[in-house]
Amino acid sequence: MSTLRRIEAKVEAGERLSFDDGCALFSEADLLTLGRLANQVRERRHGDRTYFNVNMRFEATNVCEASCSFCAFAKLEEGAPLAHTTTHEAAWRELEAFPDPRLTELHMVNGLHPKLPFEWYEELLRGWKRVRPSVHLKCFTGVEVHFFAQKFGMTHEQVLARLQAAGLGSLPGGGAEIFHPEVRQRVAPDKATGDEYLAAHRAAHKLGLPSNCTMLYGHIETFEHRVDHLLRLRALQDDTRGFQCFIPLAFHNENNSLRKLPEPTAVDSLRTLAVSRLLLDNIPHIKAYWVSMGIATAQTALAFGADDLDGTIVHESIYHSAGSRVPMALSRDELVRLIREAGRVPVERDTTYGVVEELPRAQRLEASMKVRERMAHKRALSVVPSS
Amino acid sequence: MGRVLSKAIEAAGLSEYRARALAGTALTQADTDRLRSADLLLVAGLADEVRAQFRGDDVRIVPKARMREPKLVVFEASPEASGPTGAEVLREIALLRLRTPGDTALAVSYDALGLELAQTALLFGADVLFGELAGKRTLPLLEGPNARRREIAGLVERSGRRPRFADDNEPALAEQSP
Repeated sequence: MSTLRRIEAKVEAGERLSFDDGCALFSEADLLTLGRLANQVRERRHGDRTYFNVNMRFEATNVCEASCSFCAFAKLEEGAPLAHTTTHEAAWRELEAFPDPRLTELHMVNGLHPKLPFEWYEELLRGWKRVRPSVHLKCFTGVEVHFFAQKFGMTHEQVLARLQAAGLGSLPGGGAEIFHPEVRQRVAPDKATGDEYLAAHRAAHKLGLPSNCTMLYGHIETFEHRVDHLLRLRALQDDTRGFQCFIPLAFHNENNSLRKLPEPTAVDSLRTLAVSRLLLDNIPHIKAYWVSMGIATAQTALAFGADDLDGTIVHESIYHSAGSRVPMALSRDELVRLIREAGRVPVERDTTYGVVEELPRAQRLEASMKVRERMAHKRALSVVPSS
Repeated sequence: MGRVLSKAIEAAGLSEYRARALAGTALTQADTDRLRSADLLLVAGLADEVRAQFRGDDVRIVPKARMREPKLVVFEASPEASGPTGAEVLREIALLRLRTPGDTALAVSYDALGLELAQTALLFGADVLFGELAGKRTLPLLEGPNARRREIAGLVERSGRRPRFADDNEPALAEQSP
């Protein structure tokens, strides 16, 4: 039996895939077959249900003492051009003034600021909880948590317990990059190692804080590094069951020191997402993050194993600093439309995947008629007949 | 086509379409209307199999001026805020492949679709890319048409296909069958 036939049989039987299986899926599987396999797993878990949320992004500071080569967001010190650190009042005002009453989540990722005291972050969270107590605070990557632990002489658990007491609800997945030291020492040499990132998440899970996890792909890593990364996440999840969602993040090449590298293409993104769905058999959700993949590819990824499109975002700086050309925000209606027109059922969720509202699927006939009408109207399809 | 897709196509009751398309018979509008409600990847699988059989793995990259050649269909939709979304565009490309005779090339514009969607369209039955080579988005430090050529060639190669830039004096696209 060929390698791929053996993998197909394992997927159909619900058996766990190995390191070698993952490498073979990256290097040998044809993409449509891979997508179909990943979609089987996705539909086994979620049917057609596809999740999104009404969220906002916030970056309190882009001042960062780390110097990751892929990053276009961080500024080394206060006062550098484009460096910024918010005030508490501005941060609280932004949440208070957020116009959509459906907002359920604030997502915050920051630089590793060398001077802000730990109490500053605690007060930031407390203030947000004062102005909008119902909004879930998904803040601080595993890298930030490790940075706080080192800088302020605490354990990961102590850091997280204090932030939890101030209002923290969960951790975002950023900062994972590629765990393997061969890669990490070259692209992110001066921040948490892969083991330290995982230790921070382990501590969060122990405290009952769920988290997401990520992988930055498409730069200098090999397929073997990607599989290694995914299996390290899977191993932690076997122990803790605290990861809710995995988000593959596509490398972008503008305004950073890896700008000579080409970016991963749509096909690379679909393949990575599909392999992730197949290898991460214990992580419930795989997200096609539209800011990272682009809107059309993220929507297409809903047929390649993804079951979540992320949310409205509203304002995003990290990817846009590195050249992302997608809009800063998508409206709730746009997200619903993207999901419906991919043939799926839109489910508005909160951060921990509680259902806020499940919307009806598009009527198939009606939807396809609309497509044809729109295309005819736009004179979108031009056929040059044979002579 | 792999076993997984093949089984799924059979299970979805699409074998008849597959047999007709692979026999070289273009599907009818009524056929493809029915396929609008089929699973997106199955439609892609059908279109890709037809493309592989009749057009081979080469992807021709040609100037827009050659889009009036015989035996060529051109798909020119683009995803817009109020227009079709990416998944709809890909489905329509696949359906157009299935409605088109096997000896006819199917072209998509990377200017209209964007590079990402144009690359994905190569999995959905397209075998010709066209557009301007002096685009806005080029590889860093390598501005200009050569960089654009390399970028597009890279997109084609990374989709598992062979890029072929068609010069003006090359034979008609439809004559370049596998």
